[in-house]
Amino acid sequence: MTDSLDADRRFVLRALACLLPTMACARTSLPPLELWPIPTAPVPTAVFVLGRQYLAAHPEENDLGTLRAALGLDVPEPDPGTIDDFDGAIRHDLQTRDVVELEGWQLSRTECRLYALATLTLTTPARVHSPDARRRP
Amino acid sequence: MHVDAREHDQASIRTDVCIIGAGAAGITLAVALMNSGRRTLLVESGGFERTTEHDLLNAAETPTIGGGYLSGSRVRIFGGTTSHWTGFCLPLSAATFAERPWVPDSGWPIDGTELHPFYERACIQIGIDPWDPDACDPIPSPELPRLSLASPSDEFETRVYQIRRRTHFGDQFRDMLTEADDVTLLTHATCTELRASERAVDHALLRTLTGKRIEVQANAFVLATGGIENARLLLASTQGRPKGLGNDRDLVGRYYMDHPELLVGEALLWPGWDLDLYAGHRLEDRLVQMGAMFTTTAHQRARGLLQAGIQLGRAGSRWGNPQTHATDHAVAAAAFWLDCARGGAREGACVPSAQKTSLFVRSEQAPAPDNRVTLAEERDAFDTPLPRLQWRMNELDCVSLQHTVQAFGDALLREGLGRLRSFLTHTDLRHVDTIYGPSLTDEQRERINLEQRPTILVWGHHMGTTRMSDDPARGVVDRHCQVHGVDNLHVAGSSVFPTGGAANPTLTIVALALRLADRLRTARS
Ligand SMILES: Cc1cc2nc3c(=O)[nH]c(=O)nc-3n(C[C@H](O)[C@H](O)[C@H](O)COP(=O)(O)OP(=O)(O)OC[C@H]3O[C@@H](n4cnc5c(N)ncnc54)[C@H](O)[C@@H]3O)c2cc1C
Repeated sequence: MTDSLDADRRFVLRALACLLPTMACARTSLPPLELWPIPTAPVPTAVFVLGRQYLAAHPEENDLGTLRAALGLDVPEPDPGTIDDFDGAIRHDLQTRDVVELEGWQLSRTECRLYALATLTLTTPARVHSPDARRRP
Repeated sequence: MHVDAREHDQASIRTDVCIIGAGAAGITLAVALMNSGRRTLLVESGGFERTTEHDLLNAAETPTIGGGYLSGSRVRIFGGTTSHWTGFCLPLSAATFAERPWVPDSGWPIDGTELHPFYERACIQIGIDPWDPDACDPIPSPELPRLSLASPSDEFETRVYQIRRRTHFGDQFRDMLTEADDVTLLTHATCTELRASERAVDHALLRTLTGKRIEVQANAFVLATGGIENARLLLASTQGRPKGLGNDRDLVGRYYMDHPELLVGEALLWPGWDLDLYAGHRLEDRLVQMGAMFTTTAHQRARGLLQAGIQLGRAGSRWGNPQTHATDHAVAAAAFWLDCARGGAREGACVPSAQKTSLFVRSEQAPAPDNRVTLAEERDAFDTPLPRLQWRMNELDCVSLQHTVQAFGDALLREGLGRLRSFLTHTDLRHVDTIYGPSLTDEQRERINLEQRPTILVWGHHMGTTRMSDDPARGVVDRHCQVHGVDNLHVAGSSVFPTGGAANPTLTIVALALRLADRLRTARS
């Protein structure tokens, strides 16, 4: 379990490493109508907000093993290059209308699972909204 | 020359061409017939000023549409409804003219290319740049830059409206027409009936609210009274033809269409979108260009959809009032982050910001025989039955709208360009209220914005009631806009459109009127 947690964490962090250079190259555009600052920190906390919402709505996936399997990451050493595969998975979700609604926003199933995975791997405790945690005094 | 019918002392007039109705279509025709060697009589029910008693002639029954749809969307005045149109112009797409197997009763008898030269002339008349027939944007005047058009995916293409504000045809052409030697503008004269013999109209019966009656005899008559009145007048012209003139096949008044418009949701868009273009790009004082994303023909064919265009509402504009929800910031930040990782958020567009816009869709309606204008029991001041409009959204209209919105949301997500929040996911559009757009109060608009309760708005694009087909069993007029079986009667206006596409109608009305004028100019007396 610890090994796979590390592997997931490595995957997410390496995916982030790919991301950071793009974040750096700002380009001037027309003044946005409503400008919302988006944190440039490695993983926006927003990811965890959505991850938690998804897991709360889908408690059956609130488990690393299940999530890893659903994302095709249940291999010993997942390759962060698979971000392309996620892209393919997202397209497949759209083709099969596997779309999740969060307060009306249309998100793909895979994308929500990625948020959930990041939540489970990069935040503690590993289980979010776990029934056990709620039972504690 | 101008004559006020109330002061006219003769009971009959003889002319070469009699055009009934002086709106976009009638005025265009009259101007184009100047110096043709023909005497033209342009008959207008209203005068140069709007009056309540003339407005009352536009009374109608519209049980399924709120907000005084047919009285509000028509103006009895010289210039017609161009006295308060918004000025959005766009040619119909090539697909509109084609027969589309997935759209019952689609297909014009003419090809879109046949209209190209007339579109060009129509643009000049309205004062806008012509569109390149092979492109989606207007060919700009030399001093203006060509717009760089982008669309989220192959399923959509950006086409650019030109909006020429305050183009009141009445104001624009009044002097020209009243000073012309070969045109007589007869105001305050309402045509109440066309009397026909075997194969031709003998005379048109005109009446004034002061009780005068005038008979007009002409070699050619053109009905240009708008999409509702064209049908009403034919249906009310029952002498010797109990079903109405041109109505042997019971087609007059059927296939009525408008362009339903709907606030359908909101979107978070990553940087890179030229919202200035999509929300309106002012070129000159009265000229604005505005992009809208239309579904491509290939996508319509693949999914069996009608045409539709998605417009983006700028914050602060009438529909640009997107609400902020608890999850919005989280979606903006997380999805943007993910899309950057996917390489989606395009070409270094990763300025860490998101823009929120309202989305509304203007859609084509499928031609349906049961959406129709008939004559009501109630009558107007001339004892002519009021028009009654039976209208509803049918299955294809609703499905198309839903799918277009869904496809746009999918395209944003798939291409990593943003995310969509739809207001339609749990809505059955067949049971949604329909209201005449301009009748909405600020309060009603605010409520629609706030409650995100889908409400269908219609703007008064009255199309289809005398549809064009070469087959008299399928249309009221032929490809030349001549009424089947009535040799000297033509119809001008959007009532001849067999399908309406997703573009506003008036540019096409003007183009078709110019085409008809060419025909009348060369016709033998
Ligand atoms: C609020 C609003 C906004 C619009 N915005 C746009 C837009 O942005 N772009 C666009 O393309 N279109 C728009 N339209 C539609 C546009 O106004 C019409 O397509 C156009 O005016 C139709 O031209 P027409 O000549 O066929 O009819 P009209 O302009 O309605 O003219 C008909 C004329 O016939 C006269 N008439 C009627 N009955 C009789 C009779 N029995 N005898 C004698 N005369 C008669 C009327 O008084 C009138 O002058 C808009 C409409 C509305 C209501």
